[in-house]
Amino acid sequence: MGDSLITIIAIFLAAILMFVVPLMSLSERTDDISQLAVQTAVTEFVDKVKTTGKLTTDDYDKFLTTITATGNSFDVELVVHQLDENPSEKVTEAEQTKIGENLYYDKYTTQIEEELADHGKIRLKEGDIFTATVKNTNMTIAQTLRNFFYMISGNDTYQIAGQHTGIVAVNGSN
Amino acid sequence: MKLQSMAIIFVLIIVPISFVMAQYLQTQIDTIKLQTAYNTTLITATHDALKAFQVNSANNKYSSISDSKIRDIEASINTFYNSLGTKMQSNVNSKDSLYLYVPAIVFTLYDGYYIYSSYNNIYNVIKQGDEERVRIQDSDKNYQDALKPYIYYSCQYTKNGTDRIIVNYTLDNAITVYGDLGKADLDGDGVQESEYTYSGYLINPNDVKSINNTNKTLQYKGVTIRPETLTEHLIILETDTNGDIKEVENDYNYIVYNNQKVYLENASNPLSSRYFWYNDGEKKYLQSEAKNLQQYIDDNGVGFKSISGFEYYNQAVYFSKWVNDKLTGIRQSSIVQNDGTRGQYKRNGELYLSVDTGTNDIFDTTKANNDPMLSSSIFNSHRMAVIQKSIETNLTTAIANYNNRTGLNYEFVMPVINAENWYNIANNVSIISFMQGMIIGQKYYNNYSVVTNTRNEEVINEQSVYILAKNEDGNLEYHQPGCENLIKNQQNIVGTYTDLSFLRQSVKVNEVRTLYFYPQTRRNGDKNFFTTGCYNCIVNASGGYNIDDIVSGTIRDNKTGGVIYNTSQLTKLREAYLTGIARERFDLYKSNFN
Repeated sequence: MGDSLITIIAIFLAAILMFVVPLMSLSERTDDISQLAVQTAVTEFVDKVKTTGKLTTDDYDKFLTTITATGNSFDVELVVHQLDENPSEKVTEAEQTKIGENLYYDKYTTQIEEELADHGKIRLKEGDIFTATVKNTNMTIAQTLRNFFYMISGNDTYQIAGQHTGIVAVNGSN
Repeated sequence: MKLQSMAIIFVLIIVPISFVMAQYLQTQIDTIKLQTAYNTTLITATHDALKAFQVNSANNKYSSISDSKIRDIEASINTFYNSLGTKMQSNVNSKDSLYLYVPAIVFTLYDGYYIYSSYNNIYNVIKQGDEERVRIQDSDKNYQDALKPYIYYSCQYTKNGTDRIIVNYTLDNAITVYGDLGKADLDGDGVQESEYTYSGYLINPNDVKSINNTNKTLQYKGVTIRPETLTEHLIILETDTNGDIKEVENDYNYIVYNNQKVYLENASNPLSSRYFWYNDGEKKYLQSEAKNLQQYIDDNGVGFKSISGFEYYNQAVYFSKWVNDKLTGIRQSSIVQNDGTRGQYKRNGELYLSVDTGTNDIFDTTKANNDPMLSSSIFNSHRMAVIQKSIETNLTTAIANYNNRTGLNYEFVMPVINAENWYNIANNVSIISFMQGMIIGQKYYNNYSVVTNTRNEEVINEQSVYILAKNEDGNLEYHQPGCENLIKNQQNIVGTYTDLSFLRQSVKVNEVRTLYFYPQTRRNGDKNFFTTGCYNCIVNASGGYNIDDIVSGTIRDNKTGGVIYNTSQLTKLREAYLTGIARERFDLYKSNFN
């Protein structure tokens, strides 16, 4: 009797050990790699916009393809902060780089995507700031398995995320 | 088999595998992390170098002179290594060891480029003190880093049985042709030279009509190019009788004479007024040169106005006709390659240049698809391909030669630069830096970074001019040439100036006080009227039509292809743009122009 109880417990533990643990650690690893791939893609994408001064549909599509190639779906947020130097121009002795003297106007993902659809590219100028943030929206296997043991509540629980920001270094060409 | 035994066997198999896998993955992750970090460092360092070059050359009055430019470039290279060294502190032993990993840095300028790389200096100083002497021996190994001689963007062609036709290209439509082009007396000394050099701007000569040398006007692409009055706002520091310095702000008309801006002191009374150069808040009156300047103005016969726009097209017509005549029939099959092979194909059958222009005449600019003012023309495609080929060839050699120097167990090769970057390199002054040979995880790092410089005094490209106009409130606004608001407000265009003249200038009064001003501010009475950037095209840089469309005269809808604006609706704008860009290109200082 006692022997069979121990056997059942042993089978149960062995099952966890043999299937769940490797699966969990493997899926965590997959997420790590996805995370890395996504971060690299975001950095490359933003750096390209930063050094060329323009955002093209081509680059954006390529970026989306790269991140979705990890097998996850993502929520992509793009923000362009457009520098407006006009206010500081009216003050002769102002320091142009001082915070507060200059204003920024922001454009967000939907506006940017609309403009990309219309013109095929967005030109930026020196001093503009470009930010890209991505978060996964699906449940990765690691998240599902983890939820099996313990739950993290809330909507904003993402596993894979990447963010990069850069100040545009040149005026974009035609 | 018992369950326990199975479990033990399972663990024995799985643990080593997962351990090795974990190690392997960790190495991969570290590699990518390090690679990304190096990429960022390289871009930042290159950008710092460019900023240093911009600042140095903007504040160096003589930066257009070759020796002085070399100093600016060397200073910029120092900045590059400093910046790279600071950010890589944790990864390399010392700043000096960085030199090992940077096989080359390229500075592309208006008509050529410099490569900063290592060379073997066989001119050695041996021993010291009284016994010091020089030894020159081919077998010596004494590698030093320095700028190699300036290389032009040039290509050699064969025509009428001679190989001696060489064309030097620039970042815009200016070219220099030299070689054997049949006897002619270009310099007018009565002797017919068989080999000579001739530079100029290439346009479609049929676009220019009704040249009037008295009024200095002509028609280009249907718009009138005429003399213009140019104005800048300056702060002048004046010392009063008590020795106090006070600043006086005013607007002055100017023209560019001998590559320098000469201002007229009092525009309302030009006859009794004096001319001056502006330097750090002071007026430097022209003394002996004033007579020559007056002669130049009298000869022009249009008063104190800039005729550079007119001169640009006027000279370009003669040059373009000459080029169309002399270089006709030159196609990509006329190329003489670096190794002496003729034709567009290399020995292995591949195309020599990266762009295939087919059987089109490269220098026949009268064809509709070959107007050099348009970036999509055959001439421009060929020009960019030549620039790419020239840089590629010399850079590959420089990087490959680097292998002789380093004792690293790594072979330096030039990475592939993508098309987008080549486009930027062929149209802007830029810096290309390379870094390779560092061990990152299980592989070697090999990457490059291209940073272009859109604010400089080296080149005026299509988008380097802004157009100034009065908006409906009576305030001055500056626009990009393709701005929608500007097209609707064409009647109120005030003038066209380079983007540099919309940047803030500073005047140092004393150690503690600096004054700032914008040259395109306007003075009315004792009040300043500031010029602000248009919110449609300057602040939001994406709101504008393509400049090629403005030049050709028809703006089409991006999606439907329907005409939005036709030539007659764009007259004023095209007049302002085509005059402005011609004037600024003509006034640019060019050291190798005959």
